[in-house]
Amino acid sequence: MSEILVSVENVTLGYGRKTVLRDVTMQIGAGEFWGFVGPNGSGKTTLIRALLGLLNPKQGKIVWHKKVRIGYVPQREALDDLLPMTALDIVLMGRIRKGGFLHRFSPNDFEAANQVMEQVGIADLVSLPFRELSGGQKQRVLIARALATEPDLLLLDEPTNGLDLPTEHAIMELLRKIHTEQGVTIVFVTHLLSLAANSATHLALFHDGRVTAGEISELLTDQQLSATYQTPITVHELNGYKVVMVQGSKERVRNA
Amino acid sequence: MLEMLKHDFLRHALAAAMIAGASLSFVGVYVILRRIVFVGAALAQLGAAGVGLALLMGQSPLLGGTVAVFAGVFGFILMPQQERVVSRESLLGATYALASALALLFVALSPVGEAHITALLFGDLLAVGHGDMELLAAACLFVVFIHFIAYHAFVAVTVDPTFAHSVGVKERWVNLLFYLSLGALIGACIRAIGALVVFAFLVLPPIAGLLWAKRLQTAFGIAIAIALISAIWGLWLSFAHDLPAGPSVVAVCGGLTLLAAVARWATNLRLG
Repeated sequence: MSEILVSVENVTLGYGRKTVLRDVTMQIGAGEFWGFVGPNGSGKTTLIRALLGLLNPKQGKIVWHKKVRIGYVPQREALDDLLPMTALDIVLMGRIRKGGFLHRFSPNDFEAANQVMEQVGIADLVSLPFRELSGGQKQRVLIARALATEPDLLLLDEPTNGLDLPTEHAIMELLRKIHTEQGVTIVFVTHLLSLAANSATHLALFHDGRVTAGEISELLTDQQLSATYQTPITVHELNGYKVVMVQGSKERVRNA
Repeated sequence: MLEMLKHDFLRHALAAAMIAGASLSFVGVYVILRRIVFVGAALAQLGAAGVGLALLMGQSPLLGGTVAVFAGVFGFILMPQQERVVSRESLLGATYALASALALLFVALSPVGEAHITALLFGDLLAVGHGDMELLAAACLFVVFIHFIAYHAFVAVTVDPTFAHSVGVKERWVNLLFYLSLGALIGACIRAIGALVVFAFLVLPPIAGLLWAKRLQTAFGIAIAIALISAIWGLWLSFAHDLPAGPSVVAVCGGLTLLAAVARWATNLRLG
C-alpha cells in the first residue's frame, strides 16, 4: 500500500441526535483514486465534511499522518448565482492559503491561476462571469480553483451531478489526467457506481449507515456487491467499459 | 444646493448621511450575498429599541443602541446552526417584531415622549452635531478598515464557507468579525439616521449594485455611488421642499434602485 495520508478509525458521524454513519474504518493512501458511492442521503458528503474538519466524529477518530493540503470542489450549486464574480476571481480564491487572513494577490497568484485554468481547458473563460457559464464550465472552474491550492488531495463532491453524458465523460477524463500526470490523490463523491467503477482504484460503498471500503478489485465483484447491497448484482464489461447491473426482470434492470 | 451648505447643521447632516450611507451600502453587499437581509432588519430594530430604552433611562442613546445591537449579534451567532423546531428566519422575524414594538413603547413611556418616535425610525439627521459626526465617521472608518484588511477572507467566507475552511480561513472567526462589524456599523448609525434609513441603505443600493455588476468590486462601487447620490439628493429635496430628511433620502434611494432594476430588465429584454 502507498503512504497513508489519513486513517478513519471506527468513526461514527451524525448531526445532533441523528446518526448518519456508523463504525467507518478506512485508510486513504497517497496517489489513490477513491470513489465514494451511495444514494442521496447515505452519508457521502457527511464523511467529506468530517475529512475537511467541519464535523467532529461522535465516536472514533480521523488521523492525518502528515500535513495534507486539501483542494475541495463543492457541488456547483454551492456557489450562488447572485455572485458577481468572473471565472478568474473564483480560481484566485484558491491562492488565499498562501497569505492567510490578510492576503493580497500577487502577480505570482495571477500567473498560477491562469496556469491552472489553461491546464483544465478554460483559459478562454478567464473574464466571463461565473454565473453565466454552463454546468461543465462551472465544474472546470471549481476544479481549477481547487488545483490553485496546489493540493495533495482533491476532494470532489458530486462533480458530475446534473451534467450531460459527454460533459460527464470529459470531467472524468480531466480527473484521470490530474491523477496520473500530477499524482494528486483523488476522492470523488457520486451516486453512480458505474462512474466510479471506470475511474477509481478504490471504492467506498455507502449503504444503510455503513461504509464498505477497499480496493476496486476486491469490491467490484458480483459476490461482494450482491452481499453489500443485499440484492443480486452483476458486473459486466462492454468494450472495456465496466457496467454494473441489478439482476431481475427487464423492468428492474438498471444501472446501480 | 450650495445654499444648503451655508448652514452648519445641514453640512453635518449631509456628511453624516454620506458617511453612513457609503459604509452601510458597502457592508450591505455582503448582507445581500449572504442572504441575511432579515438579520439587518432585526439588528436595526434592536438598535432602535436600545435607543428607546436609553431615552427612557436617561442614558446615552448611542450607547443604548450599540449595546442592543451587539446583544443581537451575539444572540444571532449563538443561534443553533441546525434548525430543529423553529427556523432561524422565524426567530429573526420574532426579534424584529418584538424589537419594533419595544422601541415604540420605550419612547412612548420616556419623559421625551412620542415626539421622538419619528426620530427613532428615521433618525434625526438635522440634529447631528459636530461631535456626533466625528464619532460616526470614526466608527464607519474603523469598520471599513477592517473590511479592507480582511477583504479576501470576508469574500471567501461569503462565497463558499466550506472552501474557505479547506484553505485554512477560520470561517467562524471571520463570521464573528463580520457580524461584529455589521453590529458596530448599525449601532453607530442608528441614532443619526434611524432604523428604517439604516435598513434602506443596507439593502437598496447593494441590490442595484448586484443587478449591474459583473465583478464584486464594481458592485461595491455602484452601491456606494447610489448611497452618496441618495444622501445628497435626498437632503437637498428635504431642504428645498421642507420635507423630513430621513424619508426623503430613503425615497431617492428607492427610486434610484427601482430605476436600476427597470433598466436591467429592459437591457435583458433587448439582449434577448
